[in-house]
Amino acid sequence: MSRHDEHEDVRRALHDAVDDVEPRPGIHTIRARTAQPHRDRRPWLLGAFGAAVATAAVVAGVAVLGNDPSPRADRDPAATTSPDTSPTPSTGTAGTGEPAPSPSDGGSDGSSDEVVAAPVYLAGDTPQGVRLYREFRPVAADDRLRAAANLAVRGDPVDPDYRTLWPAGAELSTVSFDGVGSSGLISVTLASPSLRERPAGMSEAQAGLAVQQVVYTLQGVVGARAPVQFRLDGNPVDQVLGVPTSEPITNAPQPEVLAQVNVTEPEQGAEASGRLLVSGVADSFEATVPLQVRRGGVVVLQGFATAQGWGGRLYPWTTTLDISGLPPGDYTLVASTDDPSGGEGGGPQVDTKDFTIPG
Amino acid sequence: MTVRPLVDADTCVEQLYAAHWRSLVRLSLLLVHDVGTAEEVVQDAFVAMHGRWSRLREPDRALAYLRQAVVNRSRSALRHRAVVERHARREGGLAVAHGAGADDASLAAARRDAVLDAMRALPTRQREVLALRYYLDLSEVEIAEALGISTGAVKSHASRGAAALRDRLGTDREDLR
Repeated sequence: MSRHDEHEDVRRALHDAVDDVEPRPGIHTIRARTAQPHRDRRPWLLGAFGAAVATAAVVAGVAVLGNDPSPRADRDPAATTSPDTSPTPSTGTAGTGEPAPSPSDGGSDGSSDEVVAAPVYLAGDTPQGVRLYREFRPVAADDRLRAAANLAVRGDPVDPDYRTLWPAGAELSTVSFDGVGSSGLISVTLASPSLRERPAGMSEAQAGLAVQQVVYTLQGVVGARAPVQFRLDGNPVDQVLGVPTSEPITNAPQPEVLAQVNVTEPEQGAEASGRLLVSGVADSFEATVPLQVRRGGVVVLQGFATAQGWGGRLYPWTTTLDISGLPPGDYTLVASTDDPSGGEGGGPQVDTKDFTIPG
Repeated sequence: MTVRPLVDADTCVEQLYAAHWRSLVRLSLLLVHDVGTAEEVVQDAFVAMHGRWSRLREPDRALAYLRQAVVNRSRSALRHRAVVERHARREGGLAVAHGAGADDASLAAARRDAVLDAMRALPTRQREVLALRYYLDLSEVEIAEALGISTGAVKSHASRGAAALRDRLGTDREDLR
């Protein structure tokens, strides 16, 4: 790139400014908006509302996706840019303004049925122990904080590999966010005093991770690393599941609590054909994220994605796999971390998503 | 006689999305300074491109159209910005962590904001020419076509824009790195 060397500084400044900005995938929304309703060739978008909505990709478009695939040409850009900003603090970019917990989008249409995608952190097993995985779920925009936190706590994940660490019946009654950005405070009220105590059979580590499920989920929804104050009857509660919580809880370092590879797309149970868009986050050796497509345990396709970085935190990665040569059927995408040790530290971490190529 | 397009609109959207989604969002980001808006702008551009496919017919022309649409739509989005910002302030003005922001209030982020702020302060044409020239590396002819101006105008916007950007950043070349 040396055609305009005299302005190399400008080129570099512009690239530095935006090159590490990872936009949320927009293909779902674009497909939905360009789909021809009468042909309905994309049933996974027009039909399965839940599945379609559950990705970060459709945050801005979900209100439309549910029942009306027509273009949103009449949309006022001012109305849709503010509250819909990304709920994913672990995939990196610059600040945009997110007046997050507000249900109002400044538009004229009522927002009561507006749905946004919220990151929900759930537990899953890795060779290095239990870690948290993120999946995106649709929640009502005007109740996004409480709804997302309760999805994490109740644990009814789309991906069957995930689960909650909270005891059955656990519930959070109110969640609020006050202040600005990471200097704000997220408040969570327990629905029952029984959640103070650590249930029999739950380890201290599990309890800590359970609390982090809520911390990461809510920080993701508000879009800021604000600490979380747990409360009971309006007052700070001294402990949650036996974890001291008199003071607001901050997020634990990512390498200690988050799975090192996490697939965002395809979503569990998605249908796909032609090109499979694969995206996620990872912290993997030399930023390499090995990918496999398996059918009945047999590897039918291999590839890899390159994350935007590695070491110390998760970095976004995305790629497309050409699956046009694969016959219709049920497949599993397997993303893993690279393991140069040859399994010494327990082996690579993986995240899997089942998808179907329709016949 | 009519020549049938080699690919249909849906396929072209998928291919151009796979190859250019990120760079187009980043292009728009340089023009609007807000990732959420940039994503909207580029989605809109793809939808518009799909709607015009019968006239575009070729991926190359579709890409040129996309770039043009992104620049034009970024410009209109910017006009709406004042409204959005007022709204955001009313709602508490939560700074977003679209990503690393929340985790890393880093030097890199500060520098990025400085560049985006500087871009925003430039006259519209200078900003657009700089982004197309030095981010997308388009030729002067391509830029002239995309913006509907002469190549002479592209040249002068580019050199004035570059000087103004350096000025705004209050730096010499070393500091820009």
